[in-house]
Amino acid sequence: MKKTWKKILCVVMAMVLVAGIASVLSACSQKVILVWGPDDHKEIYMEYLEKFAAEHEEELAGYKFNYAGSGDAGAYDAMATDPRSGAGVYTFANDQMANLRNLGALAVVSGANLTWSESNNIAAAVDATKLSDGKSYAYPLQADNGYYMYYNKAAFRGTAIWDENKKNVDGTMGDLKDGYTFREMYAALQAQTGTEGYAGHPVTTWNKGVVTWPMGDSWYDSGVFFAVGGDYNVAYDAKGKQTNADAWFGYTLPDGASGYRDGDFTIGKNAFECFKNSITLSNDSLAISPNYLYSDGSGFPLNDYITYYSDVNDAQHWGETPLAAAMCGTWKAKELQAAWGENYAATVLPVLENDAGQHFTMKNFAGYKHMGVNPQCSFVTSAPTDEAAARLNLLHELAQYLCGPEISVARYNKTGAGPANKQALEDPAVAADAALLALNAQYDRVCVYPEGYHGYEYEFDATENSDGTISYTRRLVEKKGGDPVGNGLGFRTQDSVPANYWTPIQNFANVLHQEIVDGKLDNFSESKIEQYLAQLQADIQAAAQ
Amino acid sequence: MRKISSLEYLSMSKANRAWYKFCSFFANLPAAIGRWFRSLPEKFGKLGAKIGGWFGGLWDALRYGNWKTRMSALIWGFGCFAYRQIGRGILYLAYEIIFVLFITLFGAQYLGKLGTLGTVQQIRDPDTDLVLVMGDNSFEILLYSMLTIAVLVFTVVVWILSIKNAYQNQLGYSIAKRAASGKDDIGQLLNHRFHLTILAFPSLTLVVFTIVPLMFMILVAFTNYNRNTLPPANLFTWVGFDNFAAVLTGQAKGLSGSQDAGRWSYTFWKILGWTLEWAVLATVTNLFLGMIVALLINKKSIKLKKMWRTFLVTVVAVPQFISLLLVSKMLNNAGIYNSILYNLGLPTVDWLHKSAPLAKFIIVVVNLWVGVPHTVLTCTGILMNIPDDLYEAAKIDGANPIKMFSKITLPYMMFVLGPSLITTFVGNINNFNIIFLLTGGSTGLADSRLATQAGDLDLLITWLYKLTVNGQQYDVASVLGILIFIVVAFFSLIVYSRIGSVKNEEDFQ
Repeated sequence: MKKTWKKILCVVMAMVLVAGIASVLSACSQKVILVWGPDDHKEIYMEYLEKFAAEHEEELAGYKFNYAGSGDAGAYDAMATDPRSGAGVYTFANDQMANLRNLGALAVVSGANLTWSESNNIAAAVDATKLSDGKSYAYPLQADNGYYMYYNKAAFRGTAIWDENKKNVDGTMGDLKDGYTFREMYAALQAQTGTEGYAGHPVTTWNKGVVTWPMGDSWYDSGVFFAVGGDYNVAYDAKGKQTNADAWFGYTLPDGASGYRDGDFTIGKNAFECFKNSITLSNDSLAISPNYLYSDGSGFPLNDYITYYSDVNDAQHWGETPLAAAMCGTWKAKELQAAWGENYAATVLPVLENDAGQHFTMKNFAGYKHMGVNPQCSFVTSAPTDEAAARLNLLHELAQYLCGPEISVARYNKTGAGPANKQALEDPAVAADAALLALNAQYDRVCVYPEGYHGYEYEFDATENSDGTISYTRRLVEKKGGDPVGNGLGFRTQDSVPANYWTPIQNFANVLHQEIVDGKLDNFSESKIEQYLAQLQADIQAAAQ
Repeated sequence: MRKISSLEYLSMSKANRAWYKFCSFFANLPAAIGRWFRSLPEKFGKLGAKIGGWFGGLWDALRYGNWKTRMSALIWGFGCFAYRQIGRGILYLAYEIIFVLFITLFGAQYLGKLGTLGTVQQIRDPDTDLVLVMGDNSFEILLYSMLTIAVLVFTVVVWILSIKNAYQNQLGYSIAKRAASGKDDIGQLLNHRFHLTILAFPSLTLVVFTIVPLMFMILVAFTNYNRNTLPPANLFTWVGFDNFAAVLTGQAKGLSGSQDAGRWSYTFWKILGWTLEWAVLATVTNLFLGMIVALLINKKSIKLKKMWRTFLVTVVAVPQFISLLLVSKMLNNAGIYNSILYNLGLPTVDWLHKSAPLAKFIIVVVNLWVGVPHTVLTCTGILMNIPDDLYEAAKIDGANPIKMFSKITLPYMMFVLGPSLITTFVGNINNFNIIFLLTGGSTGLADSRLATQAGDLDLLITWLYKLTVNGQQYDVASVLGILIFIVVAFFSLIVYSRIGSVKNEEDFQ
């Protein structure tokens, strides 16, 4: 009996071994070109990949396409394991471009390919595919990442900031007036008459709709700093290693080891006041507007408000306050549209205001999604050099096909992804999308892009004062040839900064917010503000080292 | 510390005795560690003798063997063929051929570059980025070198076996005129050497999937393998103890990555401090509270004992990560606690983001909720096992409840709980779940002096996770892994060798 068991055990083990080896071998013999993209785009991509494969049967002999969802944000992590076994063509968010290039996973787009890219896509998106060496490293796929304001028309109709004769971005009449500020928005909501509320929602007597703005999330907060003239710069060496980072949120002067001087915090002070004035009622007190709602970057509690709208009869919702406006990006468009129905509208961000009443246009980061070609993928590198060149070209052709008008419209219809392709943007459905139109309007105000930052730097003019001290004025000048920022890795996208670069900004806004909530007016004295800003400046420089 | 006699010890008051014991534990610690190190040569000696004995057999075979035996050293299995042991001979020879092919076609190219981890940079066409020269792949060089070294070690063993086998055949043939046949071998492998049959495959997988990767990961600590040097487009290389120096002292120059070395060491010591603080706090609070609850439930006057225990078991029955995610939602800015405060008209508290001390306090409290049931269950088991007659005898002798607890209950419990305390302590050092799922390792008020990926609530283990998964900072992560091992091993060995249940095993009962 015992012996039988032993024999059976041996046979089973041998079978497992053989089966294991066999499966590994069969997996190796399959020749696959991987294509990576978001999970929810799988069906669309599979459809178009099959079409492409049918058109190029000869060149693709022995290979088949395999689509895997890596997510646009996860492309770098997935590629970092080994670019040779990674996707041949893949989508990614533009903040990963420098890192992907450093990995050798992005082929340069040049010659006829670049011509195609430039003639078929919107210029800002094509610009975003270029690193600071001026070369393009990807094809523009989506131009829809950024934030702007969604609002409920019913909440503002007939108020002081409402202009019935102004055209909304989607072409209908009636929109918020140009240059409305946060405080004007709050005042307009307070001025609403009647207690029945709007859109069938009850309104509490003291609060007639809230505006969510994610103050406390550095991605949004930086919009305030950009608005008042803050900036940052990151330099990389030829190997893609970060060598230097400067922040001009309270800006640095070229002299002195301390890096900044007392009294030179114009930018920071303006930012400080704009932050404060975006949530409080007046300059003299720190009373927070009841119409402002603290919301974090992950969409909390905005999501709850949207859920609230989706069930009109749910009056039990905490706060019982309707949502009047929300600052966020395209990812909430469909939900908000469903919630607000015909009152749904989108527009550019509000205007910021400092204590002196000076206005600043709020600017934000522009984000794009690109389609990259991986020159190290096995489909290319496993072939002899001359054939490899043809194969690399085929991948370029595929990338262009996947960025083309037809699939772009299909993608938009399925997921709401805003195309970068000119022809696709002319599609009637796309052209009428309020969210995309608002975004494009906001893009015109974008700070980082496309206003040509990577080619510029600050210069300081020194003038000697009568008392012997030196004061500086700052000028934006075009960068001269000279010292290059590496092999093109000095691209100034949002993620060209180290991850903990954001922490001080977030920290700053959180502390500020807390002080306002706690009503600590003492902390808003001149010297205290400077202390805050000096700390912020030091933290940013320390984090960026 | 002055050594005292037993008489002196007995003449001391209770408090003094306890203090003396406490002090002598720490006073003896260096000596104990020293003793362990002094015993090392002896241990190594024994090990060496065993290995040496094995090689001795080889020496004998080469010295006293005939030409057939000696020939086996060159052509493996020659000694088997010569004595008509065809099956074994073929296996040995086949192994030799496969080995030579493996080394020449695969192993040598990697092993040869192990010293530099590659020197050929990838070359691409500047106009199209077409890869012209793939270049060396440091990652593969390191990994496959480890594999090759493992194969080499195994090969040496097989080589010696083949020579010894030939020698045995030579000796055996002169007596029995017959060497063991293939049939004999198979018979043996299925009977009294069945353990070899059954363990061969698991051992192989152990080497390939555990030992080789482990070696690889340890060696990464001595390289600059990080997000700036990811192969195959980049090369990484040996940097010696630079990473260790950066993490421990902040002194190393040339650590790649965007951060200066001082930042690494600042972060490491800060996080290590909190890790130990946390481990002690979590272990001690859980132990005491668990013990108190267990005693309460076990009190004779308490009704519905089973129900109380069931309640506690329910907490254990729900997977920990689900509980923790739920609690983190409850502690959210607008979670249930803040909703209650809000409805009562009280100011709300941002529990996990307001300040580090508050967040740490909350973590310890949540950990109590998650961990106490485990301690209670263990303690209950022990309490139920303490014979009642001990208490009865004590009662007759006039002992009060406090005396009974300190003389009977506590010693009993500590005897059993001692070893499990170590496990808990070590488990808490590496308590990934509670820190990561509850807080993500940071209050969000992070200190800008912290190195990349680190937060003010991170334990070493969560920082390591973030460094590898989000930061691709494999070099420093590997150093952290080694340091965590050292910390854990240090505490485990010291405490384990000093606790009563190990020293006086027979004392129990």
